[in-house]
Amino acid sequence: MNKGGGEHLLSIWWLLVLALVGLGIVFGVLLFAGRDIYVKDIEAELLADKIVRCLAPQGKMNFLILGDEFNLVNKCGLSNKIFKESNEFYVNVKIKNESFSKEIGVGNTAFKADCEIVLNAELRKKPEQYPACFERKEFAYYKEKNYEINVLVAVAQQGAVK
Amino acid sequence: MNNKANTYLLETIIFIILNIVFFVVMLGFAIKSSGGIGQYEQAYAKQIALLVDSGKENMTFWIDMGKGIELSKKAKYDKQIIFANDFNEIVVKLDEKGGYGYKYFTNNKIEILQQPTLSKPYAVIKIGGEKNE
Repeated sequence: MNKGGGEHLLSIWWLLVLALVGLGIVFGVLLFAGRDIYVKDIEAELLADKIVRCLAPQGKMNFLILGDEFNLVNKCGLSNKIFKESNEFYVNVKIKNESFSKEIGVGNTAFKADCEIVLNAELRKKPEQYPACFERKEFAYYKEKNYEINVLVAVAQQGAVK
Repeated sequence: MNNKANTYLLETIIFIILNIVFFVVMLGFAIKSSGGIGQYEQAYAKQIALLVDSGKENMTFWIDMGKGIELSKKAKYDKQIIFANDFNEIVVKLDEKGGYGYKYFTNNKIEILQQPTLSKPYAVIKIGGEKNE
């Protein structure tokens, strides 16, 4: 019985086991270290805040929005490049009261449907392929009339490794 | 018989040493990857972009980038670290080959008043007036 030969065969298997363990460790560490730092939720909330401060500063309605010529991106200090050229952001504003109703949407309109799923469905974990959505409701007054402002924001920015 | 025992002992010792070397290499790789330059570039770029998004015109803010500068020094990179390009993007670069960009959604010009260095490891960034787009 060649016991020495048997031991040499075992060491080959042991090297194979080590190689598999090593690959597993490398794969696991790269997967963990390469993960994105998730800030989309914060970014969505900041964007919603900015829109609300623009449309209803201190609870008083920015009356310009009631007109037909109101450009949300320009008037609220947002970037045209971002909202017209990149598909990573979306803002939807609905203003209404008993006698008035207006809706403005800028950016990637496909996110509106995505946000209905993200905000209304009972998701155990937010799937990364959906944008981060944030909704905010405010009330503002103008000429003794109260208006309800609903702001829906979606952010799907990924960032870029250069 | 003694020769066989000696050979067996030697083989076992070599086997144990190789195992130790293997696990030390794996541990070193894990530690190096977890504190990598890429993660810091991403963190700083996002931090600056979010500060710009939440700020107002003429605001100036300071960011401590001490850890990033240390990594940059180890990577022997001593050029400009923070860039604000025409695509509304903040790019942070801590070594020659890397870099991470993250966009901000406001329409303001961004001025990098001070790049972080070893002696002054903080960046000073000012939110300027609106751009003509």
